[in-house]
Amino acid sequence: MSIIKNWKNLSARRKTYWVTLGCSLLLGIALGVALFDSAFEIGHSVGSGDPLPDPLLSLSPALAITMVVILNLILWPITWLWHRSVDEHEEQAVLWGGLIAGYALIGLGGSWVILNWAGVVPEISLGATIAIFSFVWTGVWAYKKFI
Amino acid sequence: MHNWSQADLALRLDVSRQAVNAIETGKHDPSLPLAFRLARLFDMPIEAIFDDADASSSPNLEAKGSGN
Repeated sequence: MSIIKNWKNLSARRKTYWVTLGCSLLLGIALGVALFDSAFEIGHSVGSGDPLPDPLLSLSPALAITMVVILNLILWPITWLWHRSVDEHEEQAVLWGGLIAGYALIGLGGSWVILNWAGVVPEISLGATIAIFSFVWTGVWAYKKFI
Repeated sequence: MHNWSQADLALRLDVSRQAVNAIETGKHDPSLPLAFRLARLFDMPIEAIFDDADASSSPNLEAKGSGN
């Protein structure tokens, strides 16, 4: 990989960029492994048609608190450092992604609420709206950066 | 001029290879600081970095008296 091969020649900004991305990846893997049992249980229920497990019982309070502390004490500084280290092209991709994700949230989330008022769809899910926001943001960022 | 790959140029400009590609294909207009770095690197005036393709075809707004 050219990044590893050229590591010594990279600027401090680019090194920070890759280190923060690496830390985020490791953090994501760690949280994913920690959530595996709960996610597996939910996935198994969905796949087998069984009722979904009670989310209040599927994750231990100690694990949940640990994850929230990690998210808020470690991820925020990493994200801040990453934002300071992106180049101007990627910064535009990130900003456009956030803007369009905001529009998507207003459009799709608003539609969901209206349809729910009419009894067409179930009550809006916060998890689903976060997922919509994240997927649209990531998709636009990837499109603007790589295509 | 120079036999640099996009990755080589990205390293010299301290941007990503995707940023170099986006500038080359006209999808991203470099900021002034980046344009100055480009100009210094290629030893050319900064105005040569920006190709105003619309200059010859743009309407004369003053003559038309556009309100906006």
